[in-house]
Amino acid sequence: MNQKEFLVFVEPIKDKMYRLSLRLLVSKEAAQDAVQEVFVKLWSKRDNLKNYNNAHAFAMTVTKNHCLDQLKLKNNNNLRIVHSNYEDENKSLQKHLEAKNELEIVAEIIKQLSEQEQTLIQLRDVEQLDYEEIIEITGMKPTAIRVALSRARKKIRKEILKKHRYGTV
Amino acid sequence: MELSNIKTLLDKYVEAETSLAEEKELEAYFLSGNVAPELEEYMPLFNFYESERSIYASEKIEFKMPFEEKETKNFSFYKWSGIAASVAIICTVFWFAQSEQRIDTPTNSINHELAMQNTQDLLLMMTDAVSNSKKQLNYLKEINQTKNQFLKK
Repeated sequence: MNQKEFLVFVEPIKDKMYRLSLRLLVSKEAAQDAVQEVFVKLWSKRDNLKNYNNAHAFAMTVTKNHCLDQLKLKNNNNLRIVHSNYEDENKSLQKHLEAKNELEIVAEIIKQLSEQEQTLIQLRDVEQLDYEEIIEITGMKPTAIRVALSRARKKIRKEILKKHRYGTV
Repeated sequence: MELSNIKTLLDKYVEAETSLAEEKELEAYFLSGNVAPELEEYMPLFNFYESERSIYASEKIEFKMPFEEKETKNFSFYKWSGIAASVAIICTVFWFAQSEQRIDTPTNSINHELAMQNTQDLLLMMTDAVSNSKKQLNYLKEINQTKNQFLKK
């Protein structure tokens, strides 16, 4: 695989890789570094990429594992990833703020889930991948995926209903 | 779509039994803005998923592609230029050192005969000095004689 082929290979999935890293690592810088390092890993294995049935799924697996490794490292160093993704958007409409607030609440809820549940939510609900691909990426069994995903969705529902009731009463 | 239908879909969704198509249907309903009041609390969730999906790394981030070939080319270029520079420095140092010696050597070769004479003179002086000192060593015999006289007594 030469440079051009590698670029073509990476182009359609780099956003997906970045979003998964962002979901797990929270900080934009960390997610960016993670994707960068995964590129290096993939490049070093470029000759083997053709041997995988689904090389894109393999790339996602490498991304997932890399992010989990990063999280483990951070935990071992007793460091929490502090995220400060400040964004200056000049949309000061009250309605927009409220909508944003609600999305932030959802983001907070998802952050409370386990890494596995976050990965599954990311792959299924955000990326809308089919189960076969999720099986390939995570290496989990189909039933295990459904059980974990259902558990994650139930947790999210519970928290959303709790927040909603708190807001109204 | 009917409300009861959405509700059953939602229950299936939570049990992770929905197909991808059904989930997309569900999302389309919640993004439509025409949501039944009793289901409003789910709106942010599907809005969130939708907004997360539209995060693009490629918009703001330029990834450096890890192409080793390029890097090794650069590396070898620097490496070889470094080697060339060090060789050049060593060569110039030696050349200057040798050229200083070369400045000395012609004057010597011009006075070759003079040098020969000088060395011969020097050697003669040496032999003179040695023979002189050898004569003086004869006095040491006197010491021996006197010493023997004392010992006999």
